[in-house]
Amino acid sequence: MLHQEKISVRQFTILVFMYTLGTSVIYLPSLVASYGKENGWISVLGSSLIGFGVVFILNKIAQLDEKKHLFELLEFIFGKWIGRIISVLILMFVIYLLATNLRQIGDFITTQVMVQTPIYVIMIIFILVSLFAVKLGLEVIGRTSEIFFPYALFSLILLIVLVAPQADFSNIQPLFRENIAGAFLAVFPASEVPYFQLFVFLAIFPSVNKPDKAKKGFYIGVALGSFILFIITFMALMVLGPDFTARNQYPTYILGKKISIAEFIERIEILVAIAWFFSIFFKLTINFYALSLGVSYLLKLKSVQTLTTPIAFFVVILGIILFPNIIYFMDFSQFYWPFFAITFGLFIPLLMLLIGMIKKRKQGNGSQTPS
Amino acid sequence: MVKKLKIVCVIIIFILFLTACWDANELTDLALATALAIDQEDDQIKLTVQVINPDEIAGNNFTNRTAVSTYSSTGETVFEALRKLTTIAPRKVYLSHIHVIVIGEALAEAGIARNLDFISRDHEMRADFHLAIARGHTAAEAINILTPLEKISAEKLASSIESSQQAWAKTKKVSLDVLLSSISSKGKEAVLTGVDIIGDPNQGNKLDNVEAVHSPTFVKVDTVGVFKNDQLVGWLSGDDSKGLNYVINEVESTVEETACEEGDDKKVVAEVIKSNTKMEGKFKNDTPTVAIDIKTEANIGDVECGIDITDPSNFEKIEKQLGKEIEQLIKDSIDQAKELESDIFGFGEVISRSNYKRWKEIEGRWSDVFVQQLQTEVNVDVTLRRTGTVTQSFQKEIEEKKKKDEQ
Repeated sequence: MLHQEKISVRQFTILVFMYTLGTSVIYLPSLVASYGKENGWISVLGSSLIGFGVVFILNKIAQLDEKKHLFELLEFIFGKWIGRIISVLILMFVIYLLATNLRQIGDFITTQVMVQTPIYVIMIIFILVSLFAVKLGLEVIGRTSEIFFPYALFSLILLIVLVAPQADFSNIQPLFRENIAGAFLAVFPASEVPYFQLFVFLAIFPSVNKPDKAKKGFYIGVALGSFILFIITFMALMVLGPDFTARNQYPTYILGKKISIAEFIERIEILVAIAWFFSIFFKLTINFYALSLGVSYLLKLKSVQTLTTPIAFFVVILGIILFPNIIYFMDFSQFYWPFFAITFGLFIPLLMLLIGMIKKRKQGNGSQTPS
Repeated sequence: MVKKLKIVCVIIIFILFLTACWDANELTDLALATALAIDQEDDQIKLTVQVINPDEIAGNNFTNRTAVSTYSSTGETVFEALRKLTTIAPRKVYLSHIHVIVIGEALAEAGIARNLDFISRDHEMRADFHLAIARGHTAAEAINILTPLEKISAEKLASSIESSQQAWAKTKKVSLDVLLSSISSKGKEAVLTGVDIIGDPNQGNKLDNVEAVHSPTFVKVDTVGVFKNDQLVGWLSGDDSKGLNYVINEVESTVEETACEEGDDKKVVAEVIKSNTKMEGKFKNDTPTVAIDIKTEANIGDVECGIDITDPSNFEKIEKQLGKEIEQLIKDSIDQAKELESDIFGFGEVISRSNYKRWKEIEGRWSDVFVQQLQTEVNVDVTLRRTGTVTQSFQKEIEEKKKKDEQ
């Protein structure tokens, strides 16, 4: 049995929340500000609406058969061979996600915090922790999320509250005048990062002990995550101004640097950075888990954990060789990546839902359903 | 056997990762920089850093060495000059604790944009330092002066910049993000506060400068320098700088004075305790207009004449007069900015916020429009709140006594 492990609805919700924050919490403000300038926050709102749409679709898919995970569902819906081909494509997408996220945190640390440390050392340390978590299984991941959730949330709230006195409303004016087109255009690159990747949660959906409540938890997790993303973007635009936000690679970290309460509480940006160390860890781990689940399912392995170690090594190397430099990465993720993301994050789930519903109706008319 | 091998493997992995941090910077290997000075020397950049001499700050036995030292080097770029410093400085210069960056006047006149990129790109640089221009001297001289009270003169400079804006409002603190966004804004120009050296700069860098009760040489925070794009084009006077701060709503506290009676040289002085500015852009018969609405609260701080301030009508009169004084300050300040052809108030941004379509039409020639067409409507509303610890001044009695003596 591949998914006898059970996690609670609360743990699932926290995992969704962490996944939504993921790497977006450091990149998103810069991304939306470079498109929509002072109206960038509108794109965050727009993209979270898309996010809710995606969650709606995913919940409907999960409803088709609550006991089947993503890859079983694919096979069930598309038939054995087409289902497997799509599964392989999805796995490739998830491997890519894993490698990119690893590279992103590596780039962040080597640019801002530890400049002389080779990037692969940071990537190895991060993936080792993730590997450890995946080896221990989903239940442990779930419980870890419960433990770390308060820290992550607290440091984000700390950031928002402490930087709030420096907010200047005129930085986001004129409202709705300039760059409106840009703001709407940015909805798509903004939704690619957290929302068009949420489909990996279908892989752990059957492990939630109360599937009905998990649907609600899915919404709550995404809502809370989007809300934090929105507030952070809003604050970055108000405190740093649209130009500075767009120009900086990691505006959220700069926001942390801006904290100065009575010249006493200062230089605490690394405490704030803890928030995304956690969120990126959970994002890595969930992607990693979904990946090893898929691989072991396709290869009919007995355990999810069998191939995790080789995958970890593979992903580190992939993360290093994928992009020669950071500009290449930014260019790729802005102009080419959205098409991949929308294919896997929106079109395939839609297709799954459509065909799945037709199939289910047919079976409902016929005899028994094979489980 | 296998188990032992596993343990050995784990230990080896731990040894690899838990040894130490790659980027460990030991305090003893760093020279903590507190101020940077950037000057132009011929075609090159001359960079001067002020570093802390830790023994003199936190040690137990102070010697008669100075608390800070400066090192200079030249290079094609700021970055090159900074790295070149390692040839003179004993340790690697660490930039995270910089308080001020002083830019030489000559360099500021030539344009500062090319030197700012490094400052915003380098990861050691933080966003919490002040920028200033050394007026009339080189920037290196400005950070070479030893100051009493604060052993680290960069700290003195930074706190002077802050406190003088807070209490005097004729200077202006500018941080890097503000400077960069106003340089790149289409509807706003940048300003930087000046620092000036009073006395002989050569004497100021010796320890005997701080051994006297009255230091012969000291650094003074000066009025505001006006930029056009990234070039320094002129200086505002003190009053004009205050006018600027009123318009952009950065007056925290200052002193305003007005004559007791017209033509009288005796004054009533008020301490501004709160000031709030609202700006609104509009088009009046095609003329871009900015309405500046200022609400100021003040206390009476000094009365030099026998005016009866307990009389409400006099109180009102003083309020009106103070309002007019501030209005005049602002008008002069705007005239001065128009003369320098630089929209330091951000009127362009104000207009773009209120009427975006029309702004797009004039955006391209904004600096001409600002100089030739822009109208401003200044409206200052002063409210006097309190009179300090006394009500009626004793001046009146003295005046009456004097009159009697004359009789």
